[in-house]
Amino acid sequence: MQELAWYVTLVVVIAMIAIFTRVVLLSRTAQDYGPVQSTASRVRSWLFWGLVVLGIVVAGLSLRGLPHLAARAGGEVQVVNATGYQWYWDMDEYAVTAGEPVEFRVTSADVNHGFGIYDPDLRLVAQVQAMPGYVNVLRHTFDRPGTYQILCLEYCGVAHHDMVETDFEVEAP
Amino acid sequence: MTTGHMSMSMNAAPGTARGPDPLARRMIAANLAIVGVVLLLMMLFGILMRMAQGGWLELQPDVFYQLLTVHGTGMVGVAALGGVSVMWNFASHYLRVNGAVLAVNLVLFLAGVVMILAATFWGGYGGAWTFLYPLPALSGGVWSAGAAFWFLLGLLLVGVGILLACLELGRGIIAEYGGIARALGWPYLFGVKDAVVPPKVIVATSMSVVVTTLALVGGAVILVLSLVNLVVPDFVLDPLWAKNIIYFFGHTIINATIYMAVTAVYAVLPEYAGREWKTSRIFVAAWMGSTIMVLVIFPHHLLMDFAMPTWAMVMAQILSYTNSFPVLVVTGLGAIAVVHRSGIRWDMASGLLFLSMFGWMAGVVPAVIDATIVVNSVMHNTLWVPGHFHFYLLMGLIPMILGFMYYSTRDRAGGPAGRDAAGWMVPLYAVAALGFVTMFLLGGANSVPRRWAVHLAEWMVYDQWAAVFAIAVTLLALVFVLRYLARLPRYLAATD
Repeated sequence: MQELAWYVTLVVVIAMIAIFTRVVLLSRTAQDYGPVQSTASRVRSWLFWGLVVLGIVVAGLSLRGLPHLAARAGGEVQVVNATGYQWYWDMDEYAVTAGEPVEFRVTSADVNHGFGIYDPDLRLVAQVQAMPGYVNVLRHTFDRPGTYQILCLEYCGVAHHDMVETDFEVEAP
Repeated sequence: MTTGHMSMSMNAAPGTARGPDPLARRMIAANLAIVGVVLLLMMLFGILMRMAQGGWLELQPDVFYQLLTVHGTGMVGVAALGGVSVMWNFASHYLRVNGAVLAVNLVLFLAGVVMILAATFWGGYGGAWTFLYPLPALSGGVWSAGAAFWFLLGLLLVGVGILLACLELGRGIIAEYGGIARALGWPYLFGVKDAVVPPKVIVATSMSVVVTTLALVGGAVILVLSLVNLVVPDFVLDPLWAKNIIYFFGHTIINATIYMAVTAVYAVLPEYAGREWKTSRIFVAAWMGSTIMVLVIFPHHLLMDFAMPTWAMVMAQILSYTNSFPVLVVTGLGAIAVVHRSGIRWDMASGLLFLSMFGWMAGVVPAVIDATIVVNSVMHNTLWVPGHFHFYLLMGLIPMILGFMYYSTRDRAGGPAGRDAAGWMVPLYAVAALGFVTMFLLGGANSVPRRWAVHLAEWMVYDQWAAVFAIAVTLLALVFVLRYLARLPRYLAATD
């Protein structure tokens, strides 16, 4: 997902750089405004409807995989209760099995924290906020065994960067 | 107001009609000088933070987070002060507004800044400009409740100052146009007979006044409640409710600063291009959409709070998409059309203002992508987030304000506003700023968390390149600001 986000951004931004550069290069030659306005009007229509169609398609595809809804699905799950403290994580399970859904029930005992699950390559695979007074439920199925880490992803004070649980084991089924 | 008077106002080109009163002119100049100096200082703090993350500078974590706090607060502060100043300048060509309010705003701003700096560097407060409840009161022994109190009170004063300026502009709009809806062009949009067609600057000002006022009232509520919590710890808030209000305030105010400053683009680019950029129904509809959407999309900051209602999350994603339409389809495309094959006169003012259109439009892309919930699950609170907002602030808002600085101090006889250096300085600034934000985005794509004082060795390459680009951006900004300050005495003497 991160690669997709990066490459889409890269391509669109480069396209915009090309458009702006071209407009600047051609700006010194004066032309009547009328034809430019007509072209802009046509481009606006295409752009508008193109974005509408794109938005509907992307929203339709992406909203089907909402983590909020996954958390409410039934079925057998491995449960991990996690509480954030300044500045450590307290969890009742430190090992789960890959291929089976895990339900993280995450809260905080003091300030807001962010429960970020990082894979053995230090790539963020899922996250949920840890908020005092609320239990946020995150369901995730690990597809790869290994040692994962939990990094704090909400600024929580002077040792925010030290709030790391380094030993969360995902075992092979 | 009479139709005849309106007609005169509508047709009056900026610089030839009323314009700011003498006091307002001086206050705008003072504000922009302060904006320039504070901007440079905050950029310096940014360099220090990126160098520390890159392992090139030893900073204790408490000092890093103090710098982070001041950097965020200072940048939002100068964005608001700069945005209001730019907007006031152009709006006052159509409105009768009292420049004394800008003086009150500046006094409150400076008083607030003193409190914020003292609370942070003397009191040790490092709870970030977002003061996410209950962090100000629960520092783990790093700062006192007193330090947090003075920080929040300082922020409140800055906000009240900006609010007063917006209320005065709102008063002026109502006095001149008979209501905010009329100034937003809604009767014209809905086909009311003989409806007034407001100038673009007034539509943008009206929208900015509405959303800023609501944001600042929300901000004042949560700031006061947080202050009470600091004094009376038994008085507690619901953290989720508090977070909603904080992001309603924070998201709305920082976005509003761009809508304020874009008045410079609407006023100046057509003047330089020698083309008329008329208010159309599409334009009015776009700004109506922005007015509503900017106020309701803040839940996209809470996408990872699964306790939030699902409908609010879905709404946040969809409205984040639609909120990009006015920027891309109307203002951005409109600016391109105004410039395209126009024979425009390029100088610092026009160059920076056109760059700002690129920054605003392109900055929308990583923002919209991050507002997609499945992407947010693996991007939220990584460096992708500062990547997207630095994109449209550093390459959108800041060039708007810098461009206006040059425009306001240009040679009134028609001479260029820094034509000599525009050819290389503006592109160089664009390249340096683009490099800087790219390092944030790359860091985010590689899962580097945001707001971490200490980075792992494998993340440092992004930080080090970011520091190099940040130094280049800051040096160029230094030249921009120094040139403005050097031209200021002559400008002030000419307006006496």
